Amino acid sequence: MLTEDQRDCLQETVNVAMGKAGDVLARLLDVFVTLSVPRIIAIERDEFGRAHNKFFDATTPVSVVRQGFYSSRHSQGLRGECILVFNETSYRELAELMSYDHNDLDESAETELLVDVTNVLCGACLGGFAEQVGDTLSYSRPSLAGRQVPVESIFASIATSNDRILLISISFKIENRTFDCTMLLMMPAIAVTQLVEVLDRLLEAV
Amino acid sequence: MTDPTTKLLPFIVDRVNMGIFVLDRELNVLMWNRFMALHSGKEAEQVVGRPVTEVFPETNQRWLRKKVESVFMLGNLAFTSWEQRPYVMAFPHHRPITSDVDFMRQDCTFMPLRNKRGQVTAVCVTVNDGTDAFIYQSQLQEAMVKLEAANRTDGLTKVNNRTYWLNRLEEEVCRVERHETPLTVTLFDLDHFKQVNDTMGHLAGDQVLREVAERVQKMLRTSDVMGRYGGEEFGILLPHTDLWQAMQVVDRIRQNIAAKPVVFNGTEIPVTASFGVAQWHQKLARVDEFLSVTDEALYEAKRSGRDRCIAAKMPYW
Amino acid sequence: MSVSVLVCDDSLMARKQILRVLPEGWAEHTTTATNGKEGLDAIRAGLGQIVFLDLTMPELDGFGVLEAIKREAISAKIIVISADIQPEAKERVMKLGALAFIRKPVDADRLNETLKAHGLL
Repeated sequence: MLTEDQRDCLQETVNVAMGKAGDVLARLLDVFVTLSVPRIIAIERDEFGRAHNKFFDATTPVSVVRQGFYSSRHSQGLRGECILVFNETSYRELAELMSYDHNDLDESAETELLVDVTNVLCGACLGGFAEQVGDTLSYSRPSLAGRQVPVESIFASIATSNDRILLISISFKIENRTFDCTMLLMMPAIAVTQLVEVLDRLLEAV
Repeated sequence: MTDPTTKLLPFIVDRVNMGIFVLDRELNVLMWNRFMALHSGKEAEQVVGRPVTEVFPETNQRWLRKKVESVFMLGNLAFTSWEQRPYVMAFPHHRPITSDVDFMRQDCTFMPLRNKRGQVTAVCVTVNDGTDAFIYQSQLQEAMVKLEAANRTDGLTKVNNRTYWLNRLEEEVCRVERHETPLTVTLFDLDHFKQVNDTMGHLAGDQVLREVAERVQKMLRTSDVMGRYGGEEFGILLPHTDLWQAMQVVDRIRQNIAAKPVVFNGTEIPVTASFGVAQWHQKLARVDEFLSVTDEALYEAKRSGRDRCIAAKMPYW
Repeated sequence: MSVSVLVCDDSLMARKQILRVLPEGWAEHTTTATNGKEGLDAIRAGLGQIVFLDLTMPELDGFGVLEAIKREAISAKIIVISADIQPEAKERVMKLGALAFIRKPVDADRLNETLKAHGLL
């Protein structure tokens, strides 16, 4: 889907965006966020069912929140879904870090925490990305896609009307804690055409 | 010539079928549309210029303050969903007859409004009525619970059916492999049950099964799982229980069954049961082996006189 | 002043961006490294009087490089250029002996100011 140069450019652009998101998270929770190099993969339709193996090796259940994004400047522009995959201990740690007594939190409150953190991270990361590529993005409301579900279920719900999707994986970890959250930015092939144009423009400018 | 949109926009914003209101950083209301007026019972004139939390004291002040502040600081959209937070403003809903819901369920969006210098100066809140969706979801959930219960319950005795019980056993074994806690299983079979059916009819037999199941069910601890394994055979999973503890629990059950006869149409039917008990051991390769070992113990209980509990002998490894 | 410069960043585009904004004729000799391990080897070999260092890299990240340099008491002038802009990242980097922290995407004016401020121009 992408040339070597385009991939490098995308990776660097995402790197800057992810730094913004990491910063917001760090300030929100007053912690040190460990960032790692983002991964970029194109996934073909027949691989959707197995795709989770590329990112997650655990069989432990995860909680998943999704949020859609779309360009508010170009009708055929950047769009896709941002999916946040939280590990099991995330609720508790987030609650602790935000000074909630976890006994005070019922299931809804815990879910709301994850949904709010998703909204904040997606807004910061995608906002940072859009800024660099000269676009503005709008977002759909985030929604819980699964609570304590097996990791396969994330990819099981990918609509097979897509023949391939571009997937960017960004990991956020908190130092000295088990909180672990992976952001998966997924774009359908049709949006990647627009993305490629944008990347080429950035490459020319260097 | 004025652009027709300029004239239409205020009308649309005011009359559209969703709540729209604007707050400044101190939560003062700057704008309040008709939906908000209609559903809150307070007209715009009564509200604009005052803090929204003053006009509606039941609103969660601390939460709303934090939410609005986060939009000012991060400059991004924020959301609430009725699935996590039933409502932001407690409004009556439009289904007072056909539903039992307390207040309107709401999906809200919080949008930053910026001045010419790009600074956030206000937050626009939109309120969508999600009450219908909430009611559908509740109905669906109720139907699912009923369906699930029907799929896993034994019709006659109302305990778990064999399939479900076996599934639970598999799950428990997996868990035990991970966490190394003790797990015991018992299979028990009503003694001379065929005789009851033959001499007193199937209805009597059914009554015996129902009553025994009920008596046993009452004696179980919360983590124990009972299931109807066969015609007159039942199984019980006893997690976090070793063989020694299990033998005591199971013997109490045995005594309870034997203590009182079952009464059917005025006739007393004495009942006893035989029990095989086994504790899960790592070396048992599969759940089948576990059950087979327990079954052998049950058979031994029958063979040696019935109305007793026998602990399984583990095979030599 | 003729200096030898090392640019250590896993991204080709980032390396190009940095090289592009360096003052004209300032760097006599430039070396590039694509991860912390390569960068550290180059520093040990004396290939960078002035080092532009990214933080998020595979193999060995920027913090790792700074720690190693401190441990081995190598004298090197390091300017961190990174997207990891959380408050503590900057603090740590400075504590580990970096001269300055510049956020990405690197701004030419900002870079020039920094070089001037540290007498490196």
